Amino acid sequence: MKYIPVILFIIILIIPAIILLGLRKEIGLKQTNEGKVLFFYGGQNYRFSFVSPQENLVSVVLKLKNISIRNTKPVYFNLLENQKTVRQIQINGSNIGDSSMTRFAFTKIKDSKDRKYTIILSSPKTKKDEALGIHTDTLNHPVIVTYHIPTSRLQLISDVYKNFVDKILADKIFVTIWLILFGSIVLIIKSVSI
Amino acid sequence: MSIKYILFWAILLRFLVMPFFFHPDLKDHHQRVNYLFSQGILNIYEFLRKDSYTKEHNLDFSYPPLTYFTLGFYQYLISPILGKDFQKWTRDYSDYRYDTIFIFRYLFSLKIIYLIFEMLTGLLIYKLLSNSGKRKLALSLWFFNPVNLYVISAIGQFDIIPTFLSVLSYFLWIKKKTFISGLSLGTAIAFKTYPLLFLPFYLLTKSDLKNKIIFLLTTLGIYAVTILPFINSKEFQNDVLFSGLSTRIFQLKISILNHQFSVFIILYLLLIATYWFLRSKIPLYIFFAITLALIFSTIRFHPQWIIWLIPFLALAYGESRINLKFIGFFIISYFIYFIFFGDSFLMTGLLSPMSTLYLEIPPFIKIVPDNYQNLMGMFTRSLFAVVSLTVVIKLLRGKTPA
Repeated sequence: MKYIPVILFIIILIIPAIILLGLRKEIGLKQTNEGKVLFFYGGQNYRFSFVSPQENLVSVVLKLKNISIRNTKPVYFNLLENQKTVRQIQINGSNIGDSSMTRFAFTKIKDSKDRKYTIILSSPKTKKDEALGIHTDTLNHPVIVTYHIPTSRLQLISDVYKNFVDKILADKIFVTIWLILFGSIVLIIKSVSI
Repeated sequence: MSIKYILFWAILLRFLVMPFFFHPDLKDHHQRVNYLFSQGILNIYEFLRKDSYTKEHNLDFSYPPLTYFTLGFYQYLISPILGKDFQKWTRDYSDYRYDTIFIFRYLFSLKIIYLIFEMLTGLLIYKLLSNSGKRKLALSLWFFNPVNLYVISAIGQFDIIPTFLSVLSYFLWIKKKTFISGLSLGTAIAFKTYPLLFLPFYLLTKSDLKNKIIFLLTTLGIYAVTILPFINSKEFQNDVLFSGLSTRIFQLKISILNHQFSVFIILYLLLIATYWFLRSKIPLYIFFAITLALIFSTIRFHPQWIIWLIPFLALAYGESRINLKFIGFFIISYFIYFIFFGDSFLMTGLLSPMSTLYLEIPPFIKIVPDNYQNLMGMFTRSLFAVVSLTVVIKLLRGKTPA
């Protein structure tokens, strides 16, 4: 029984790493601030460029808006590199919720790291009163997440743990409260005769 | 193994789990109770049914008023730590609600109240086993079983509060403090209705009639006081009194002579009758444990419900009424059931504050071919039911303490 807490301690530390071995995709670019919605319909397309931070780009998630899920017209997602379409996906407007994360998945682009891509969203048959929206921040950058097939599991695990520690340290109040509380409780346990 | 060693590791493990594991229920409960002090809403049940925002997001609150007021008051107490963005976070239903840098602070401070009740329950287990040579082992079982870490520290459910109050009620009953024992059980029922099932056992003990009447009146009285202001509200009746959660124990039925009978109720009545005959041989808390094990073997239950039973199992272990092997089977079959449950927030999704990548990991049930997933679900469910029934039999047959 004496070693059970120590074993639990080790499990808690390593289980997140073991679970990551089952991961099929990792996140590359991520922008989740949103301040407004830009609309596209008819000849008015939405266009945005980004640089892929990782190899093996395999899907792009955008936050789209189909007001009251009225639109049932074809919607085109075009991914361009150097003005040439490298991937194209057609979906139906009815697949887009009233503000929902919509994933555009395609066959992986192997050497995508540091390459500039352009996304064009269009829906030529859509009329103005059923226009589709894309959530963006105030600078018109869309809410976007790119997914990539991991190239190295070890690197992925190390990145996740590093980002995790950075995230912990970013909230100084949390770190302070945690340390003070833990320290005080340990001191109390030590000083009280039980 | 000293008590200090047990307490140090108990605290360390919980401090490592509490801030970094997230289940949406914790946020959702605090989203509802936030209305108490942000808008002064007292009747949450009516409010949630009428407000356009809550209607749009299909929000309800299916727990009794005391839960709402307790969590609301606690949220008010820690609001300086939570900060001004907390309310906005509780209303964020996007996939990126985990990205806020404050999430560890939120999770840690919201779960501290549960840690306090868990520690207090441990203290009661230790005190109840004052004549047992296995009291430290029983305390270790309480603090170092993975179910506690999973349900209380990782998921962060308030079930530990009624659990503590149920154990406290039993502790006070043993100490012949009938009135506050009744108060304690009544308060437990005012958080979650399940401790009401313990009431018939208390009333069938060999205690004198006056004590039993005092106990009955205080238990039902305190419960009535907490729900009376809401009792005429149709929303309260629908969302709490007759909700799916409250009536679930009647769901599994068998047909006898063209009449439908709840399996749990039949077994429960048989158990009460058994208690009448065995009450001088088997302690009261064993029948609480058996009642709960019968619930788990006859209905689909929520993962946090298991914590209702663990203190009584720790007591039974401390009194050598069940050995560690059976408790181990029980815990393993519980985890097998929820590993294959298909809800990623009960497993890998709990790690989403660490990285949203954990949300990309498919539920474990996906490793089973589609055609066999239902079968797998039935198998894990049946396995847990069988192990629960084995625990019931073991508790009934367990040896008496020396």
